[in-house]
Amino acid sequence: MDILVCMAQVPATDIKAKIASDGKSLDTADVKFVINPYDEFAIEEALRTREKSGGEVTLISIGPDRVPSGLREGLALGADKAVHIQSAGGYMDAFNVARALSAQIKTMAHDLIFMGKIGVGYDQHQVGAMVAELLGLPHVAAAVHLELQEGKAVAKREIEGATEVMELPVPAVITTEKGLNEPRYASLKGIMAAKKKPIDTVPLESLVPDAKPILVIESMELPPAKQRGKLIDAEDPAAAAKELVRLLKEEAKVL
Amino acid sequence: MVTATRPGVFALVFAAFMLLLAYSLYRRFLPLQDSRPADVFNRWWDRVKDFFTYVIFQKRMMRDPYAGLYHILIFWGFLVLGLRSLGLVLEGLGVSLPFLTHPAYQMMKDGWEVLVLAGIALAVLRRLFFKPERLKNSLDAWITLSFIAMLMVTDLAADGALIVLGSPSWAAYAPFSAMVSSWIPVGSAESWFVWSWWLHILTLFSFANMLPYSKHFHVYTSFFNVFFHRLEPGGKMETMDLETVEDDTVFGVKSYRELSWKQILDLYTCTECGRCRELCPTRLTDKPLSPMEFGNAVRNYVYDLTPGLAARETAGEVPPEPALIGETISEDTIWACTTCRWCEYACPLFISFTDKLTAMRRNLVLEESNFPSEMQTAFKGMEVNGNPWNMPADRRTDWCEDLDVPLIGDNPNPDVLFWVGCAGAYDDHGQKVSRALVKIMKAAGVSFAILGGEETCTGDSARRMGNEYLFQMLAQQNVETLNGYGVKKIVTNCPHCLNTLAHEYPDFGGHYEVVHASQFVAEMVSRGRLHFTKSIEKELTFHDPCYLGRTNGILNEPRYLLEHIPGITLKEMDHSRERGVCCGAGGGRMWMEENLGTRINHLRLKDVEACGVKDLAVACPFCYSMLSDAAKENEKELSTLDVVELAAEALP
Amino acid sequence: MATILTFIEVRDGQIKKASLEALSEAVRLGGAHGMGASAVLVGDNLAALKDVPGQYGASVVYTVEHSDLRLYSPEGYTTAIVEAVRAESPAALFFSSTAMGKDLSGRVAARLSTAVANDCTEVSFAGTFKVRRPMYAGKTFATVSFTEGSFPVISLRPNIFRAEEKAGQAEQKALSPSDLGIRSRAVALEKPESAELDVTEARVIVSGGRAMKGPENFPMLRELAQLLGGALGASRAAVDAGWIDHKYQVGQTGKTVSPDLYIACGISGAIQHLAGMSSSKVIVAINKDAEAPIFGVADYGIVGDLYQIVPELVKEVKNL
Repeated sequence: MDILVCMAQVPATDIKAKIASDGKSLDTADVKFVINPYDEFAIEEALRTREKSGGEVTLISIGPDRVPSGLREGLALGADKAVHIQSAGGYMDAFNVARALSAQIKTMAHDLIFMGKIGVGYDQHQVGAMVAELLGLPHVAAAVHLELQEGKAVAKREIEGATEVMELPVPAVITTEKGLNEPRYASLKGIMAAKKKPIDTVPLESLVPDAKPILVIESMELPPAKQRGKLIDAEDPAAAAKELVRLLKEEAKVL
Repeated sequence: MVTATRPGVFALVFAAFMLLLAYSLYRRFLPLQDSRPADVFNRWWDRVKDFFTYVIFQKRMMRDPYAGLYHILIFWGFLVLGLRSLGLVLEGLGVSLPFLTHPAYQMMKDGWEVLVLAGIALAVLRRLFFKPERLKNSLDAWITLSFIAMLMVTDLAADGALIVLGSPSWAAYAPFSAMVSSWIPVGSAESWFVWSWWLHILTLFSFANMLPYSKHFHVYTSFFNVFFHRLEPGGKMETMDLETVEDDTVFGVKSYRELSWKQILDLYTCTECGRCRELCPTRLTDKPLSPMEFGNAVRNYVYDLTPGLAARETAGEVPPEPALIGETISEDTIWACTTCRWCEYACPLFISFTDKLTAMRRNLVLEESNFPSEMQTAFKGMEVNGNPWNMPADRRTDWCEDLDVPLIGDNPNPDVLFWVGCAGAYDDHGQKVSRALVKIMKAAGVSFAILGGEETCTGDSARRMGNEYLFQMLAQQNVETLNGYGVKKIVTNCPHCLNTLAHEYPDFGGHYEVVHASQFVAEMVSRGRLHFTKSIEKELTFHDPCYLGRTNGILNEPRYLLEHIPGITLKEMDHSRERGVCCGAGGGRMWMEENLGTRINHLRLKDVEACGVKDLAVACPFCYSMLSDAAKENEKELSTLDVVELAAEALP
Repeated sequence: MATILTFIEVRDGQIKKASLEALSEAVRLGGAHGMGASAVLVGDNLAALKDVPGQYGASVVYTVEHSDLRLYSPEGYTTAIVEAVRAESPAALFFSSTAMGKDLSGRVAARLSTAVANDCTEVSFAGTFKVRRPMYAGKTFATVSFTEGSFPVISLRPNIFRAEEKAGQAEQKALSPSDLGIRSRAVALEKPESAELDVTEARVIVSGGRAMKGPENFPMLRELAQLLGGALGASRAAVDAGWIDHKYQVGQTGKTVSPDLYIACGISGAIQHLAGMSSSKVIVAINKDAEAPIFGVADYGIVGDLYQIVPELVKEVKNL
């Protein structure tokens, strides 16, 4: 099977965010970039599929010069090869991302395309569905369970208060959600082998020569630093509980 | 001269037994051929000193005075009587050495034979009546004791018969042989002699041949095993070469081939005395790891390989091999170890266990990527955020936001660098201890600084969990930072940081003088730089952290400090100092789930309770977490505090 | 008059409240800028529901009814909505960021050669549509606008906007696209045993963290949640420790929630957790540690032992 994984690098999730001087982007000076956590589930699922059905896993990622290090991390986990769609970096709306990915994928054999449901960089949560639409493939989003059968996939996704069981023919796009699997840890052997695996570079312009942004970031800010709230004396738990309930009812009016 | 045999006959018998022995030893040697080298051909004078201390003078054996006594009787007896055995063989071959009939030697021999018998009697008594828990009541042991006794008895009988037969000049110096001689009827003295002599020789030769197959193999190997024992600090793990990697390089230990010959010799040398098991925290809490059983299992695995290895030598075939990890030693066993090193402290023969277990972990992590899943969070945390909790890296200095703590950039030549550590920076209580140390250092007028955000995890946990790659990355980074600032002296609250900074960073070019906070503060007290004005009325006991006490020998300073805080009364637990029982967090286990057996920290809590105190003093953030959690989980009224906190509290 | 078209999600024969919130916002925003509001319902047996959008201010309601649309299908629903867009030529298309909305809006936008602004907490219009939405797992908020000439597809975060009833009746238009193009579809819905409110739908959430120490302590929180008509939640620490299923996890790697009331019990308030709940209207923190970061965002805090406080709260709420 030809299995593709679209992955993105994102700032490590625990950083204390700082806004850059341009007022509309994140200050990435001291920021460590990691593989988008949701893409880890995608890579893992791709590897497991290859283990069961044979084939090859190829990673694809769009971004500037730091991307190959992220691809190497994915290769260290066991992927066979990678494609780096070289861009200048910076915000790209999901449609243009999807256009670039689809254009690249059209040039490759593809049976299954995995990617995380959301990239915790720009939090757009739509690239998977878009790539499917642009490639004319069926898709399922935020899968927490996946089973591949003859020519079709059965996936489960969590919706509010229930689990939706989806069926779709393959080839397809599957976006991955936490709980689908437990991503493996790269062994040192894997890390060393990754150094020798091929990464092809493709310039973004060659895939989407006429990219027109649909969304632009006008400004970016940190959420307002909340004022410290009211502390209720906890000497007497019963009294504290009483006071809290009273405040919630009368002051905050949420009860 | 009365002889029991014709040289020709004896020579044949001797040759036969010796060939047999040579073959047995050759088989035992075969696995060593395939094994890795050991860097032990160095520091000769230290080795000679240790040899005398630990082998000749049996220092570790004497920790158990009863056993120490009888073992010394038997052991020294063997040294003295070794000459006797040599003499007998020569006698059999028709050569006689005058020295061996010298009265002085005869007296020594005679006396020692009885002493050995006394030793055997004490040993038998112990196995029959006292039955210490750690001892394995094996057939092997009884056979050995019987054989030794037999050797003594037959020799006394032979000499007794000689006295009857010829009244040799030395008879006056051999009172015990003389006593035996009085029981031998004159008529049968000759046949007594011949029988006793041959019985002795055959027992000797059989025993010599049995040894490679018994737990008493240590008779042959112990001298070498102790002489070549690892002289590096106990808490220092071997640094792996991760640069030169071929396609067939095996990381860590996967089979006997990756063990060093010294490690295999270790396994051969186990006498199954069980001292290692006595205070092993995993054995005491019903986990599958018990040091002696672990060592014996690996030893038996090596033994089981030898027929195949022998076949390979002769017929060139490669026999099938059981797996070491999984089949022989379960993964649960490998992950259970807390690296508390009680086993290595206790073993009189300097057999090491943690090195083999962590080497297997290295294989599981670096090659197989097969390890308990919760460890991944700790690995990722250290990798991305520089701490196993995966707390944001940029919060490393939150603990001292409101304190005036100089960064090393602002105070480039401090008396000492305060290595805060991950717990000291992020853990709730760890932060309190950090702040306490800052208060103390300021009160004592110490010029100090911290690395702040440039500090990253020392990697102790990563290394203990087998992730040598991650460890080396962290170590290199830290050494670069520390050396960049010209740091010479470091004080830290965490014994794990201390151990790694002091003993493991030198391999990466980091050479620092590292002291534990308790030592540092104790020194301040002894120099009169701290004045405690408040009295803390507490009767408490001190729990020795494994990495501080047993592994790094820092036992007195925390006690000194406690005793100098006004109001504190210090009571010792039964298991304290080097006999302190682990809290359960070492060896990277802090980051793993404890699913098997009972809880180690709960076990240690029982020791604290048995001491009858309401307050516990600790000197390690892991010990603090484990023991205070244990108290909470058991709903005990125990207050746990770090010694540094107590000291700070007593300051104005 | 141009309208803002809102997709109305139907589940289990019911219209999702979040869709009505989005519709009401369309009505408000449209009304302030000379635009009307329209709606599109997709599903099967929609007779009883067709009139509802009209009661929330929609002037036109498109219905796409088909047995194949009874359960969700990305392509099927996409075709249906795109048909409505072609018919209505709206100024913008609104969704609600429910599980279906987050997925569907993407496919629809791609078919319309545009992008979705997802999970918006504010929408405005000044020639082009502008939104405020989180980025970097909610660590920042960005003001994002659609460029001139691009078709705005906007997905609104549930529980932020208010659904407002407006007397009125809508013009009904039925659509029957010729080929729904269904290949991927839902075949079944599995419901959990207990009728438990999902954390993303709840108005009140009682959440437990590291201090819960084990699965056995969660029933106490669940009881409080149920008494308050809310849902149980958990921090990553509790989920990672295996004490509770990850479907309860609130936070950047779990669910983003914005209830009216969020009670955090024994949760320190690490940034990953805050990323998931900081837009809650009222935050209550119960924690032994006065220094816990959660107190920095809490509106009300009790520095105490949750094992003593929560039972008292349960008592108090029972008496309400």
